[in-house]
Amino acid sequence: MSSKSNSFERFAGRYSDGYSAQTQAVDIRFALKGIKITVSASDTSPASGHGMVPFVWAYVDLKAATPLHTSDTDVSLTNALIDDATLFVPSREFCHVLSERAPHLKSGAQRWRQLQPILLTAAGIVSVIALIYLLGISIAGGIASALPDDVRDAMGRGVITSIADNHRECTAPDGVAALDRLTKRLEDSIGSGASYDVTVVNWPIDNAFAAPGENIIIARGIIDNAVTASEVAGVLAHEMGHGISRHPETGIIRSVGIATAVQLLLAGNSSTLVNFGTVLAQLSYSRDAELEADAHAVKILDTANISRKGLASFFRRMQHRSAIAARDKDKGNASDETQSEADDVVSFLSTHPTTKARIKAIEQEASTSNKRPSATMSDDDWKALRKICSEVSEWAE
Amino acid sequence: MTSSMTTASAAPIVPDKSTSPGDRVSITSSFPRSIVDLSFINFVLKIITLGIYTFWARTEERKRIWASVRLNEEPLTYTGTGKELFLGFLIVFGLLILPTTLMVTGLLLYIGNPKSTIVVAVQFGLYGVFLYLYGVAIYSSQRYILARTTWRGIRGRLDGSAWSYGWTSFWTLLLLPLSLGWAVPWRSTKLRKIMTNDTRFGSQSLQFTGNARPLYRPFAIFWITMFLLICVAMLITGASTAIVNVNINPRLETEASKNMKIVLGFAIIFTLLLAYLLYKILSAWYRARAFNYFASATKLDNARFKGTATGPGLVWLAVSNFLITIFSLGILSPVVLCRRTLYFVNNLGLDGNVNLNAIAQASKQDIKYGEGLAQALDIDVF
Repeated sequence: MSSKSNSFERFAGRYSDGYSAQTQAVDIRFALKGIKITVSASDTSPASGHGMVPFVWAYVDLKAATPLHTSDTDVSLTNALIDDATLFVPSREFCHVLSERAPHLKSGAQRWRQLQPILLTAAGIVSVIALIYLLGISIAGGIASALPDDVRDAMGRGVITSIADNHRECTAPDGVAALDRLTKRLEDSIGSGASYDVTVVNWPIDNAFAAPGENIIIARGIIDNAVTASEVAGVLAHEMGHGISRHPETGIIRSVGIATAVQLLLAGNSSTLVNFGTVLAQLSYSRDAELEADAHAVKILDTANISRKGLASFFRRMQHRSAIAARDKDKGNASDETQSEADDVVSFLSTHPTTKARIKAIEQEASTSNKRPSATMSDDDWKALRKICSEVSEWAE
Repeated sequence: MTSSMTTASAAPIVPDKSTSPGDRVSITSSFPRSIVDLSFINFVLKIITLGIYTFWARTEERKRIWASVRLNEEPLTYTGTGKELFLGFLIVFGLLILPTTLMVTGLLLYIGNPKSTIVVAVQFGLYGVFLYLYGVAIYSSQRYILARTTWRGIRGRLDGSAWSYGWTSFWTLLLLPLSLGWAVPWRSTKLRKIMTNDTRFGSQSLQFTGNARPLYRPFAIFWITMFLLICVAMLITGASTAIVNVNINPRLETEASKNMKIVLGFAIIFTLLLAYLLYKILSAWYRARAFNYFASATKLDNARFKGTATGPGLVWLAVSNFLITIFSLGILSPVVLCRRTLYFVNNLGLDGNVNLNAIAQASKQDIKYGEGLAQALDIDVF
């Protein structure tokens, strides 16, 4: 409504042609298709001597330095078709009318124009991620299975070295020989010709890891706490299962990928350069990965004709100990020592979920198997293996 | 250099400000209230766009801040775009950050040992490269910002080499620890001189006429006070620890000895806190002096800048901005940025005349992308 009444009103402004920093006083009027700019008669600046004729800046060509608000008291305008020329109009009334005549200058309209492609991109990213998730595509898994062997070996060295930093290798020759025989037996039953490097470390926790490139590390606690040799064989087969499915490689690639993505989201702050140590610390497997490793383990043990009961009883032992640990924790009477032990167990179990279901799955099939399993290893071998940490040495690189 | 300056200021040939051709230029600013709303809008938009909007958000913030700065009542205009910043970032990410990350990760995986000589050497080398790039980033982002700043349609420009500035910044940085910090005024003056002399407003260049000498008195006061402060703080914490270690037998812990430990612990914390606070106040005082001196050493045509920043002013700015950040959970960071920028604008004047008629448009610099490097290195330019 006000636009009509203002059609004949003149507004004072300052015009710069963009060739020099000098300005000239101008009168501005609202016309049908644009603003009409006339050099004021009062202007005595040298630039006005050029005898400028009135000219029109079309509304559609107008650009504002900042998005226009109806409450603005001044506005700085440029023309999309004319480089560098600017028009400054210090008038609240002018801003008000202009925001009606050229609504594209208003903040909402400007922001929405910018936002559309960005929102589309964001939506695209979200849907790609959702699609990957829904289809169960593992990008990291894909890369891991495509990695050449020497790269995987190198990755494995990285993992092992970071563990070897704090713990020594158990090297009693008879024990090593016994372990090698067990390893060979399990390898043969995999049948793919894969050769595993199994190392026992002098570390009193009940844990074992698969590292990239067919490397397996068994902590001394596994052997110390095992009642029968088949428990060790079960754990070994389980870790081999991780290796077969390339879980360690996948885990590392995923962590690096996530770290890189986070970097991208944080606008590339370089202080978040991937820290290799944290990548390893985060290496834990999903429930599905554990079940997959279990399935491999069962197959390996069956083919090698070793009882699955060892694996099951290992899980049972872990479950029992975690229950005790939880009870002690509740009572609040856990000594520092049992507490750290309990933490080991809890952390192991947190990476190996739903123990009960897994024991059930392993045992259920075991009872249906009609073949009688043979001994895991000879009594002498088992005795030797239990003493494997009677000799320790620094890690051989 | 100093002697020539003194003779120049004493000589009668210096043009009289009142009669030199041109106009006086006033520098004013008012806090743009719309930036408060904008902070909230940008915060929401950044979230729903997975952070991609950051670059456009920053551009919108700059537009408001620039428009609130007035020279002779007419606003500065920021003409950069979010797209330029976004592309600049993508390029730096793709050509620098990502390859470096992959290279370091690959090397670590390949060598296996994070403590091996090669890995340490490569990392050390990379720190060097990034320190060098830090200076390059500061210069090139300044160039982008100047090229995207206009007043009355006249563009700014930075006419030098970012690589050479980066190099100067790098090797002078290495001298800081060697000189126990005494190279600070010399280094900042040297860098300021390059930056100022390379700066153009249209066809008109800025001139830097200063040297480091006048900064050494305030710096000496700052340095010596800091040194004494550190000595006193070390004495108190050292003495407290010694008292605890000597007098309190850990096996015979009594209620009294426990209390004593607590009291001494608080004494240490209080001392360190006080030392930190004093450091902040003193460094603010020095920075204000440096800002004012650099302003007075900068000429535009026949006019000389004049800085009126003060130590308490900077301390209050830091404290209030800290509180705003904390209580708004960072959402009002554009307000913080704006207040910081406008503090310096408000404490900047221009004495003398500038011949605006003679200032012609600068030719366009071929800059297509924004300050990706600065962003990647987390340099807070604006």
